Amino acid sequence: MAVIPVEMGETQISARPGDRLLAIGLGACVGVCLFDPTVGVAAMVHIVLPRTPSLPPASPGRRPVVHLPGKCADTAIPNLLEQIQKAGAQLGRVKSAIVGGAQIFSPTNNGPNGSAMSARLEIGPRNVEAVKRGLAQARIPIVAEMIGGYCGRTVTFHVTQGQVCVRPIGAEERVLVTLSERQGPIGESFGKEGILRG
Amino acid sequence: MVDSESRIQELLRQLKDLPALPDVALQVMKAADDDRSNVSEIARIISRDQSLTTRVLRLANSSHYGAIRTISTVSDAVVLLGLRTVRNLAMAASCQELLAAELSGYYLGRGDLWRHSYCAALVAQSLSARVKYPVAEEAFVAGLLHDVGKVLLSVHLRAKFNQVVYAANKRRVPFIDAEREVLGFDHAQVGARMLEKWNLPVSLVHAVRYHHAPLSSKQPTALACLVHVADVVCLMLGVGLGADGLSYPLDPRVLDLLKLSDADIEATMAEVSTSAGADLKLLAG
Repeated sequence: MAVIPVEMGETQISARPGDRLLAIGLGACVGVCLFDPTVGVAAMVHIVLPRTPSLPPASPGRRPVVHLPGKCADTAIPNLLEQIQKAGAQLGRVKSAIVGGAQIFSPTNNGPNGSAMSARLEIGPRNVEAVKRGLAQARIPIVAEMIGGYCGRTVTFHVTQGQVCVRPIGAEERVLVTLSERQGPIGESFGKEGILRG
Repeated sequence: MVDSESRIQELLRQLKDLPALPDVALQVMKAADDDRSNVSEIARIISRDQSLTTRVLRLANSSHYGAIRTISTVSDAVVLLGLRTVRNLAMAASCQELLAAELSGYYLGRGDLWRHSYCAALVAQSLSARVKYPVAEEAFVAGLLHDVGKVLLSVHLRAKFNQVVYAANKRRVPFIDAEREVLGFDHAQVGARMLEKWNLPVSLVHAVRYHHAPLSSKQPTALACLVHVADVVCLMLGVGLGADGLSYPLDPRVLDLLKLSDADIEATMAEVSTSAGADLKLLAG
């Protein structure tokens, strides 16, 4: 039994019962949890950005910047699907849960007088959108989500039963979903105004 | 009506144990500001403190700096990374203990504020290169110390945290506005007063005071603008998030003033997050 950290841009996979995949303090980042209940394979990626930006070349005397495929949703989702299949999963059986995608407080979304500040850098919502698009293209159902709002979240993904637990920072941890059991969609998302929508 | 400054003065007066900025941090800053001091002077200050030396070398070997070989001495670090970088690392390392404290008022675990602060320092430095701000080291130190007020405020916030959260949610205002409403002052004001007590330069005091609203100052500075954006980047990356989460606004006019596009910010996030994962584990406070 091991706790396997899933740092920014990392992809981690385990099929060992008792292991836990752990992404600490997701802000605008999105943690995507995939589970194949038949073979008990769990995979998580910690996505930072919706699409891969261009980076400057390495400076002389420095190691070149390493691009982790899990950093940006455009490469992270295809890579995650490839990795979980290599570990024995079949995409037709895989279910997913997504967590994170919080956004920076925006007065624009909080009343008529906030017009001085327009929304910029809505990376959280764009991350969620990119993840959902990628999973939809692969026909992977999202059966649970806890996304949006202004809070940071820590996700623990238990390989046993594919249970996804979320602890919003400053609040109690709770079970979002057990992917080995769940059939229909559940979850909660927050509107731009940070209010629970459903 | 008692104003914020009077309340902060009263808070500082009541505190018998105002956190001190380590002497070595002041020595490093002074030496670096003094044109007559040289490489060996900085190296000597650092090397006098074995635990500081260890922390500096650990930072110097982190993947952010991408040195092509292992750095095993302070002199090595100066040769490979440059004096300015080593001076920044010494500042960061000497403030690590102060910033690594557990701050239960904000639900920040041990090391969380340190990771957020160090990340903000790196981002502020990186942004200052993008916008060609001439004093990148100043941006690094301002980023490092921007949230130091939380160290003091945490104790006061603990008892009234629910009130602050309630105020923030009820009126849908940023967390810092709710702090001011409930406590009478906010962590940026308190942090600025701490820097004043430590006799740090006015430019740093100003940047810390206005890091959440740089344009509310009568004389906005590029330094405060850089720290404002750096803070937001670290919050979005989720580095050292507390229960206040991302409840702080980004003023888009600041991005315009600095001539930073969304693409610039995303590239900075990509750059920092590439090394941050491994580094922040390494740097656990």
